[in-house]
Amino acid sequence: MAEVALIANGCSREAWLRYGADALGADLETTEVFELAAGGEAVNATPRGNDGEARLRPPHLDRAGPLRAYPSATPPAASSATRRLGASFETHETDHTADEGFVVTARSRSDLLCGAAEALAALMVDPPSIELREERVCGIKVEAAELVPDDERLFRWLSEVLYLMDAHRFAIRRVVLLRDDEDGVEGLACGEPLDMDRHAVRGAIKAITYHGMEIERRDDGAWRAQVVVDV
Amino acid sequence: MQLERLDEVRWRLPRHGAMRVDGMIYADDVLMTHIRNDPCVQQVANVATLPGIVGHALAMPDIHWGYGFPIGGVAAFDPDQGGVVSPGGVGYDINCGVRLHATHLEREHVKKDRDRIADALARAVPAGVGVGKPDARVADLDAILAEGARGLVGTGIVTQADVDSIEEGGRIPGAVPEYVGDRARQRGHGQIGSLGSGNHFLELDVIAEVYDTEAAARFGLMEGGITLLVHSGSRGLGHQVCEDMLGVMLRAAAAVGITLPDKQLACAPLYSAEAKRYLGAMAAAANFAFANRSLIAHRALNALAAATGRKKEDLKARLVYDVCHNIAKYEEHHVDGRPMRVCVHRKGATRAFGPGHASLPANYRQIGQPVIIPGDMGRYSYVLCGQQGAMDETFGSACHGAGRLLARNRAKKLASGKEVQKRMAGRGIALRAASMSSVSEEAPEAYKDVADVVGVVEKAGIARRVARLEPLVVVKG
Repeated sequence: MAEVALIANGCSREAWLRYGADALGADLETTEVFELAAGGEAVNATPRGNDGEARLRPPHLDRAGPLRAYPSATPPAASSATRRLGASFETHETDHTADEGFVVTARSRSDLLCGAAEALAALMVDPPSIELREERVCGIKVEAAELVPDDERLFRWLSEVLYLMDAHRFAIRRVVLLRDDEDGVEGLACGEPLDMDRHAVRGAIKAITYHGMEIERRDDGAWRAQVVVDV
Repeated sequence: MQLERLDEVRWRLPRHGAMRVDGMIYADDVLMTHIRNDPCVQQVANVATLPGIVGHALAMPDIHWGYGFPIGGVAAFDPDQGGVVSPGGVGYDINCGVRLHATHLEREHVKKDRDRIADALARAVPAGVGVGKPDARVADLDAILAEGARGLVGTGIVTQADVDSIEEGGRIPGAVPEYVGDRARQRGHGQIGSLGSGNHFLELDVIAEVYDTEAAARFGLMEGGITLLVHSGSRGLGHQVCEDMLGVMLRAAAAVGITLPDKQLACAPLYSAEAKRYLGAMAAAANFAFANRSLIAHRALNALAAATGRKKEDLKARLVYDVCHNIAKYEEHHVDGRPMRVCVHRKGATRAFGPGHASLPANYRQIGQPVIIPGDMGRYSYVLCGQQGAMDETFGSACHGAGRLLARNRAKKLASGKEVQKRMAGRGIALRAASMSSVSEEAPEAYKDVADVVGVVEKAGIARRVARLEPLVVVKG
């Protein structure tokens, strides 16, 4: 049984639970993730078809509800205490003649930063080929938040994630934020050292660009960002 | 956007809005069908709005959508008219460029053993994501940043003769190694001598056709001979230098009230402290790239010699030329008939100095500078020589390649990397790659026909064809 302790307050509960479920070995492609009410039983997760157990305890959450992950073929017993977790962000890749890019939509700015980091990492290595073995802390400091607009925050954060991948050859599959406030952005990147033989490497990314960069909070409160990277 | 056709290969983008000068695009009818509705035309207009731009905002026939500047863009700025330098006019891969070696090997020496040779080259030169293989002779990073390829003379990697055949003698003046930050050093140092990924490659080509016997002989190129072509840049070091400076340049532009149509065009007046800082760091990164290509070629030639059962000296390898594709440099040019020292930005463009230019090595001076134009990996590449037209019209610049036609994601949908590799094998080309995914992105069909591009620069009098090269062995990142 593996235990994952999460101490943070950055991105949303959903993003954390998704991260935790993945860290527990639940294959998010084939597994639906359900949250149990506080005080529920120990958490079970199914790591890629093998039976396994793990415990997720996100202490920053007011209701420290454990998490249960089921293979989607096995529908959970109906219970008023369970609810399906929606994705807290969505990403899709965009076409640019010479370069690549992606669009992220999310419920909050923090989740947007999370989703953008994962989308960036996915451009370099196909996420399913990466095992979640190590966590690295990665962050930026912002000296005067009022002088740093959201696009610069996003640019600097993604540049930092890229630096971790390129300079330290770290393949990233999942990202969550520990903080996103006036002092900066800090997150956990989970993955493992790059292994050219095992990982489905798509190619190196040279840099994040400001070209065509958009970040906005829409009228419905959701956030959207568009990023073009140089490959 | 309204383009005004001037002749068979010239299109004027008349000044409008905030543009300070006209744009000029070199293209024929075929290429214009790709260019006309591409965002790159707007990018030409955006460049024309920058302070102190002189002449035209230029676009070579391989122009395509970049970030900030179009790829295939050239622009010159006069420091005395408030001219600027923009990291976006150079790009992240500072001094990405190409290098061509002629050898005494002939087609037969490579053709039958091409698979084995391809394996040997792929083993010798690290490619793909991340680090390279360290070499004790290039351990002094500060010396490389300051001296470029020139700093490697005497190590066995670079000869004095090589240095004469590199743009700026293998060392961009004004490099300030201290301006290259720790992160850039950390990111780049271990990567020296490696190709990188994306469109970077090394190739063995056969000289398939010679158009100008005299010029080809001067360049050491003979029909049927084998050449080594290397395309790489300053790796993570250069990318980080650019990134580190973007925020600084954004603030510098805001401080002097420059309105930017695209943040990636962040810039600073050439006389400012920020510009001096960028140019010092950029020159150092460019020097790193010269050393990087030198080490890649050195490794590849050693492997080629071993794989063909020869001593390296017996290859009689000779550096034809090594040029930058992404650079900003002070150069002397004529603007409106008078000499002027301007900062020329080439973003996906090649310096192409015409005959008689003082900066060319003595044996090339009458012919013009060798201009090396790689095509896609399945068809052919060209060697040209710079012409007077380049000096008159384009600040001594020409195209740099075929130019992408399809977005990477679209190319990937056409064929898998394995399929592309098989098709290449069917054409007699041995292909090795660090990433099969990047092979499908780099499929020949994803690019325009470089013959069309080269045809335009020749018609425009910018550069003249000397020889055509066809690939036998390709190693991709």
